[in-house]
This record gives sequence, C-alpha cells and structure tokens, in this order.
Amino acid sequence: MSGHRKQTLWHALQPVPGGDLLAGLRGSFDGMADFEAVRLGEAAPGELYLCYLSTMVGSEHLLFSLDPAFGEADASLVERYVGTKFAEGDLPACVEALCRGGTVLCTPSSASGIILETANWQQRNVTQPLTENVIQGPMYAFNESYRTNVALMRQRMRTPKLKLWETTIGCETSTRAGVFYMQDLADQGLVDRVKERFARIETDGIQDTGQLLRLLGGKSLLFPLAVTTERPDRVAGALLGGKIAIVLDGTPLAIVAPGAFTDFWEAAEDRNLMPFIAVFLRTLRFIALMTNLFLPGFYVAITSVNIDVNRLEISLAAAGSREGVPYPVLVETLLILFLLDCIVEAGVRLPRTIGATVTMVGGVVLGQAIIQANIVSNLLVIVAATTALTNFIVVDYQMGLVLRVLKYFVLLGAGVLGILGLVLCFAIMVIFLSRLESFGVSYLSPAGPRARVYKNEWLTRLKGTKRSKERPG
Amino acid sequence: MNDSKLRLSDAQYFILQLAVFGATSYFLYPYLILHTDGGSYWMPIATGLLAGILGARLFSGMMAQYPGLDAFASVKRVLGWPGLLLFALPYSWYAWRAMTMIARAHAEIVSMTILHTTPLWILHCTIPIATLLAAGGVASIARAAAVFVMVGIPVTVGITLLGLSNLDFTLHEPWRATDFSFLGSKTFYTSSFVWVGFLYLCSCGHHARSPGKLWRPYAVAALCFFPALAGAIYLPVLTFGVGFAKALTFPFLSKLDSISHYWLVVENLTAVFVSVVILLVILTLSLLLHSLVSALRALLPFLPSRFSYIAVGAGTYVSAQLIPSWEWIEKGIWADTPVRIYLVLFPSVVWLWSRLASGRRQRA
Repeated sequence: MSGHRKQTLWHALQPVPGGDLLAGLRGSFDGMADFEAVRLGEAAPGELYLCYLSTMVGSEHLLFSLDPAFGEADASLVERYVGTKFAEGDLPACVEALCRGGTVLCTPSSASGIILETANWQQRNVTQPLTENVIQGPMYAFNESYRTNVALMRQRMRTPKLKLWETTIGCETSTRAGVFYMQDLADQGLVDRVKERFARIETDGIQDTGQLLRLLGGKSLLFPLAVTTERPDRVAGALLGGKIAIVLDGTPLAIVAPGAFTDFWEAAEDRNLMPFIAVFLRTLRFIALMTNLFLPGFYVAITSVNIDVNRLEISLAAAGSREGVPYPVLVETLLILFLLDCIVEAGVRLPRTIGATVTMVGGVVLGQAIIQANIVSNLLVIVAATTALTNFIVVDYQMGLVLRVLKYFVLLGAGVLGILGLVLCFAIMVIFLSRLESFGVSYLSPAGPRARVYKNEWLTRLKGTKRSKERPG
Repeated sequence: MNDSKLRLSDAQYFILQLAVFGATSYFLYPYLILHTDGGSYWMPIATGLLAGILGARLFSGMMAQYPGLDAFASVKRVLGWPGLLLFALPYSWYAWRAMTMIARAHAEIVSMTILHTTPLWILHCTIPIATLLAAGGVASIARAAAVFVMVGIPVTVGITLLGLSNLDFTLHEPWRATDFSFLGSKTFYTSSFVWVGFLYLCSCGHHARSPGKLWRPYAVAALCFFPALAGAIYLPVLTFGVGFAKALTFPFLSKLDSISHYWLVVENLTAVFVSVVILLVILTLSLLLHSLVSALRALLPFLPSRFSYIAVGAGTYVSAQLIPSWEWIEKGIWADTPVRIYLVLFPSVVWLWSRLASGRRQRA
C-alpha cells in the first residue's frame, strides 16, 4: 500500500473533539437487525470498529486483520488490507455508504470514517431476455444490476463517444440512474432536456422505468411515451440512431427515448432481416394492431347499426349465427371480450403450470359451452379469438395493454354510431396522439412538424440522395 | 417548444389544403355547379380554380410583408386598429358561419344516408372533436392532418374511381362548349366556398419558411384535387343524365349508391365515403376554429386561450344545432358570398396601402 493511502487512513481515524461517528451510526441504524459494529481491536487512534449491514457485504472483501501483539496495529492494518477502493466520509456519507453495502472503519471518537467498497449485491446472472424473445440476435439481456447493465453497454459499444451521465433519484431510495447517449449523434438539446427533467424529479423512491418515465414529465395518461427494452442490442441500435437510453438500478428494462408510435410495432430483429421481409413483418404487425383495435367494433357496426353496408349474404350469415342469442350485439360482444380479457389476465398472473390449465378451461371448455348455451354467436367467437391473437402480435407489452383498453372505447363508439363511430373513435385517438410529444418530439413521427427524423429512417432514405452510413435505431 | 417557433413545410400546407378541399367539395358543390347556366361544367370549375389560385397569390403576398406574423398582426401593423376591425370581424363571421354550415351539412348527410334515427345533437360531435384538435395548436393539427389525409384521400379517390363504371358519355354533350353564361349564375358565386379554403392561412400562414410562396401548395393541391372535383360533378351526369342529376340534392352520393360490383365486399359505398370524409371535415373544422380563435384573440388579446377554444366550440355547436333545414344551409352559403369575396380582395388593399406608405416614407 502506498504511503499516501496510509496517511489518509491514519488521518481519517484521528480522534477529534466532539467526534462521535460510531454513536451517530448506531443511532441511524437503530432497530436494524442486520447492522453490525464489530470491534476489531486497539490501534493508535483508539478502538477500531468495523460497521456494516451483514446482509449486503461480502466477507471476501474484508481481508485484513489486526495483531496487537506487534504493538503497531495501525501499520499492520494498513499493510494487510486487501480490498477495493476506499474513501473518507463524514456521518451522512457513511450512512449512505452503509445503505449501499459499504463498510465503515471508524473509531468511537473520530468524526469521519473510512468507507470500504464491500458491497455484495444479490443479482441474477446475465440470461436470455425474458420479455422479448430473441429469434436472431444476441442471446443476453440486462439484469437488475446497474453496473452490469452499464458494463454490457460498454462491451457492445467500445467507443469513448458513448457518454454516460449519472444521477440518483428518490430521497429515500437513492436509486442510481444513468443516461447513455452518443456524442455527436444525439441531439444536445434532447440530452439537456432529459437532464433538466431529472433535476425536477421529486419523489421518495422509484421502483421501475415505467414509474421513471412518468416522473420525467410525460403528459400521456394512456400511451407509453418511450420504448422499454431489456435487450442491449436494441439499446445500442437506438443510440447509434441518435436516441438516448436511460438505465435504472434495480430494473432490467432500459428506456429508449424519444419514442414514437411507430416504434411500438418495430421488433429489434427487423434490422437483422432483409428489407422486404422487415417491411412485410412491420406491415403485418400494423394490420394486426388495427385488427385488434377495430375488429370487435366493426362486427358490432355491421351487425347492429349499418347492416346494409355489408353484402347481403354476409349479413344473413351473421344474423343466422346469432339466432337464439338473447342479447343485443353490443352486450354480447362486451361479454365475450370481458371473458377473454379475464382469461388473458389469469394466464399472465398465475404460475405457468396452472396457466396452461386456465387457458384450456377458458379457451376450449368455456368457449364451447358459451356457444352451446346460446349466450354468444359462433361468428363472435371467431372475432374474439382473432382479436386475442392479434393482441399478442403487438411487439410492446405496454402498447398491447393500451390496445386492450382502447378496443372497449371503439366498441362503444361502434355500438352507438356504427361505421361512423369507428371513424370518429379513430379520429379521437389520432388527435390524442397528435397532441403527444415524447421528449419534445412528435409522437406521430414521421408525420407532421417536430417529427423525429434520423438518417436511418425509411422516409429519409426515400427522400435522401446520399446515404453514407447505416445508422440503425 | 413554443408554437411561434414552429415551422411547417410546403408539403404540410399541401396536405392541409387537400383536406380542406376534401371536406368542402362533396356536400353542396356538385349541386351548385350543376345548377349554373351554360351546361359546360368544366368551365365554372376551372374558373373557380383560377380565381382561387389568384386569391391565394394575393393572400400570400399580404402574409409575405411581415414574415413571422399572422394575417391579423400584419393587417394591424399596416392599417392599425381600424384595419384590424375591418378584417378580423368579417373573418370571424366567415369562419363561424363556415364551421356551422360544414358541420351541420355533414350531420344532415349522415342523417339522410346512414344513421336515420340518430339525433343531430349526437351527429354534431364532430365539433367537440375538432375543438379538441384545434386546442392542440397548429402542430397538432398538422400531424393529425397527415394521418387523416393518408386515410381519407385514398379512400375518397378510390371510391370516385369505382364510380367510373357504368358511364354513358353521350349523356353530356357537347364536351368542349365554352359558354360563359355561368358568370351570371348565383350558384357559381355560391360555389366559391370551395375555392376560398386558403383563408385558414390567416392563423397558420406565418409558420411557413417563405409566406410569399404559400399560394404554391394551394395551387398544387387544387390541381391535384381537380379530377376528384370534376368527378363529383361529371360522374352523376354521365350516369343519370343532366336533367335527373340536377334534380338530386346529393348527385354524387346518389351516384355512389348506384355502384355495384360483384367483387366488392362493401355494398353501401356511400356509408364508407361519408364516414371517411368526416375525418377531413373534422380537420377543416379545427383549422377554421383555430383561425376564429386567433381572430378573436387579435381583437381581444386578454382572452385566455383555453377558454376561447371552449367558448368558440360551444358556440359553433349551439349554432349548428339551431339550423332548421337543408334549405337554410343553401341560403346561408349564398348569403355569405359577399363576405368571402371581400376577404379575398382585402389583402390587395393591405398590399396597396403598404406600398403607398412606403412611397410616402421614401419621399419624406
């Protein structure tokens, strides 16, 4: 150990008048069963204590001992300490350090202590993404450790241009958050705007990126304003496209911002596929999104309000399938969609082993029984099944939830005004989307003013004459 | 970002203008053109188009005098408060009446064609929806316009193209007649409401990079929409003949009712057409509403923005509700013709006055 480090240790542990760090720590952590203040022994400044939260430190970091027999305990301590970096800190710094797994070396009469980095946080290993299936691409995902996630990003993007701005959020939880952006590629105004919004956050604590997104000032009450992902390759692609990424300690999901509505039907694999295939898949997803949203409403419109819109044969078939059903079409459709949502929710919440049973009971037994009991028509079961299927095609989970809610809104519109109601509901949704901005960028990008236009986007490619680099994002 | 820093491209103005044409061209225009004198229908359409482009040129000339200022601020700067009163009051009248007529006319069409028993107070829901859009500002309107036009225009054009079947070209002859007697028809001047669609630029024109060239997107949109407009008049004529088409209140919608193809899944094209045009109607209403609020706030700057939108939206809803019949709409649009012509000619007064003023300044 160098002489300078020796001096620092020695200086920090010197007794000072009124210095009561140990008492302060004991007072702060009073009532915490896992707080330990272990007396190491006697040294030149006095009694040496090691304070830590036993549930958060790793004993392998504390490889030093004290042998008073030599009469030079302090020298022994310094010489044989093998650990991570250390720093000097006063009472608040020591409290904060203990909360994040540090260990404080102090004497009863010192005002400051030595903070040793001994944290041994419990975390998952780096595994495959759990919420985003990888078909073609890297098979690892972020986990709950902030440091691991930052390391994963650094491993993917080995450039000093990848900047990381850090802060902590929450008066009580002091959760670490980091903003990644690429120098020269990301709009500096966007970076400044995000920093400013972080500065305005006032909360006791934060648990997930979804909560963070709301705290960052999004006005949306329904639509997610940014994509969340657990895939480092998706984040890296977005960063190269000029976006920013926010990682939060304790959650495997990173925020990619700014977000636009079109981002929610783009899968991370799309950029690994041939362009025509990617366009085909995106179109498929978009049609699925529209089907999910409007199919139940369309069924209600053409079977109860605008019966003459359809060809006579189809109208007769629909009427035939409803023979014996005692309810109006709207009630019938609401009933089956409610049941369907219950089955989906049960499948998500229950353990996987029981989930399959629920699906079987709900899908097959209930579906068959409900038709035989003349509660709903055959045709409506097909409509409901198609609606459920198309909901799972939507890439983003949050957007899938939004569609699940909105289809009831569309259904009511169609029940009252038929086809016109569908169009009006569509108009209202577009108007809401047109009023949304994600971090200063139009949510309906690339449509309209203040749209996010990056060099990689297909619209720009169509317009552009020269494309020097491919920038995925 | 502040709305004053907002920039709209020519393509965005083109889209907005296309939406205005789509919203105003189908409900009364075919009827009015079919009732012009002379019988050569392409001439009143082409004359209207040229007059519209000329009017847009004058208007953009006025907007170019003070780039970054809306039309009301420009007029105030040139002519002072009297000039502003002479411009903003008639403009407010025009915008309010246009909104009321468009909303009521489309509610009436919906009621006649697809929702016969639905009360008008529900069908007028287009007004609150448009208010919601207008309150979002020009940026919001331009974004929604991109989506609405992307959905609305292909469907309307596609349905118009479907109407090309079963045409009898001998039902309208001679094709190349050049009879200017339409200039004496009252209905020709009434039809000017389609061509003054650029008046919404009063409150949106200053977002252009070069306001002096604002007439170009208008001209391009008018030329692009010209075939659809001609189709709205000629398709019924070539299907039913001139006499029968003239007798119909909605000749184009009646033509749509007559379209039948064995491969078409949809049997009632009119329902689809009317429903989709509503998107363009909402957009046009929101543009007019935004313009009206801008005019009112130019006159009464202390008016809070949100309150203005709600008040104007509520006022329009009530006035649309009070219109008693379709005949009243026809008379109302005719009665407003002098106001429209006045508003189109007003920019030349502003331009002339500012030239005189600058001449005086130079001499001094």
